[in-house]
Amino acid sequence: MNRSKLALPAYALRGDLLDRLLTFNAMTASKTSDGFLLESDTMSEEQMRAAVLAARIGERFSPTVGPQETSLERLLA
Amino acid sequence: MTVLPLRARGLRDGNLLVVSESGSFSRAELSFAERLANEALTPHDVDQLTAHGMYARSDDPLATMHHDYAIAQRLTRAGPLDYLILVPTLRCNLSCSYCQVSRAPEEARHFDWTEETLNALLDLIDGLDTDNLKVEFQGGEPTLRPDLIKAVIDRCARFTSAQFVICTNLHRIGDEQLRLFDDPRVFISTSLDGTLDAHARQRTANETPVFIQNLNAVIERYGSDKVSALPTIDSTNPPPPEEIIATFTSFGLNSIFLRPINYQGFARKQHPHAQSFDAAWPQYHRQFIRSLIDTNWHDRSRVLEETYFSICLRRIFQPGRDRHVDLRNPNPMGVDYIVVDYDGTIYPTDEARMLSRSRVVDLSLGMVGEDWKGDKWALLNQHATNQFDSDCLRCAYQPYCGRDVVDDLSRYGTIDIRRTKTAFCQRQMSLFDFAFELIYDESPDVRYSLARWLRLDGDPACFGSNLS
Repeated sequence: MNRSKLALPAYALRGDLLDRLLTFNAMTASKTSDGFLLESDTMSEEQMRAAVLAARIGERFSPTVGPQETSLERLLA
Repeated sequence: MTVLPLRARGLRDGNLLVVSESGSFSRAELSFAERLANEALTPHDVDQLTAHGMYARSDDPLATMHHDYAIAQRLTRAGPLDYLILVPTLRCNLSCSYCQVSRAPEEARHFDWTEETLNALLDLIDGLDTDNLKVEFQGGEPTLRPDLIKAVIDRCARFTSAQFVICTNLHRIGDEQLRLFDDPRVFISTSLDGTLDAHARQRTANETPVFIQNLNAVIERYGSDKVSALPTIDSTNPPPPEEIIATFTSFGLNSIFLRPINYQGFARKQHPHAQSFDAAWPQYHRQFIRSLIDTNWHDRSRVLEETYFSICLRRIFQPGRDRHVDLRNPNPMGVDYIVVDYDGTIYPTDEARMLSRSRVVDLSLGMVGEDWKGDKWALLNQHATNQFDSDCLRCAYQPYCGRDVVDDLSRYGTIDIRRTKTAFCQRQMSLFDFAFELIYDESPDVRYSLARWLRLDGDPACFGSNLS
């Protein structure tokens, strides 16, 4: 597979999103003048877009430990 | 109105897998995923998520109760101690290059249970608060001491159900060994390293014909249901999948637990590449599973399976069904199973025994006959969960996955390492990625094998739903 690239504006990978993306996917990120360039040797651009969306959903809806009570904590209470 | 905790992962087909905290899952088209990420769900979207247990009204306690119950079903609830891994001797009559326990030579002395150790173990068995017991005899080569195996089996007469697995290299079988094997409660577990060439190279050298003769003899005497064989694969030089499958089927063996060399014992020096996760392994494993699917489809007379992949599948679909200790969460140690070594030392797992033998880290919990639930036991169990790990919390596969503290200690000398950097995590990620690829594969041959591996009677129309 050729190296796939996906350019995203900085706001699209704000906060925890970039770390989420790079933690769970075989891609690298470099800074550009207005955001990030994601690159991967094993993922297509379509798969990279899906991974970005997955990270956004995870960031918004993942259970967390801390101020937000998880279902498990509720269960054990 | 609230979306319950969700995680997502991009799939190979360009769609997304959405997984709830309780492990319920569905494949989402990108348009749906966009609406979910932007919190712009339509009423139809909400209906779909509700049907999958991913959405609940704040005034619907039944829905949140259902959600919590589903999570609870996936959590391990360790019962009383009812699984013993026993090492009556560390001596062995083979000297494999990757021996995981650094066995002792057959003629060595002081590597068998003493009478005092045996008696302490028998007292422990007498005190077990269970009706069902499973005992696995490991080594060394445990059949070098059939008298010790017999003493344990005889002591287990009081249990309603008792099962004994003798892990043996089948190198030497005499009348005493056969008398043990004849017990219908006894099962035989041996090693068969993929192909006979590989087996000879890695284990038995020019005595391979003896092993073949003995393996054939026990299968002929007892049938293949009583005998299992595990291949240890050198991932730097794996045999072609078709050859492994042909070797196993030639002995009538249908289950193949494909294992790369474990970074334990002598393997730490002689196979140092085994320390890190081999990036080529997932591809080989996929190829192997695809070969099994093809073989099963074209020959319906029996079902072949790769045991660990089947365990992963059942972790997705059938929570609570398996008790495989390498993949459960939490993974309590020294609670429902323990290892008793040749010198009476108690370990939480067999791998912990290997680490101690290799002098990497002493994970011994105590001696048989003594209380082993001390500070070390408590410390190990404090970390034996993936529920609160910062990477696992963000992982779509967390509900199906487990935690292996001992594997981390073995490879990295610490558990203080990002989960996604560990070999355990990388292996599981690739396995679950592939599992979901197959779950959403509509080919009849894939459905056929998946259904058999899940022990279903028929082939379902689909294994996974869609959010669109």
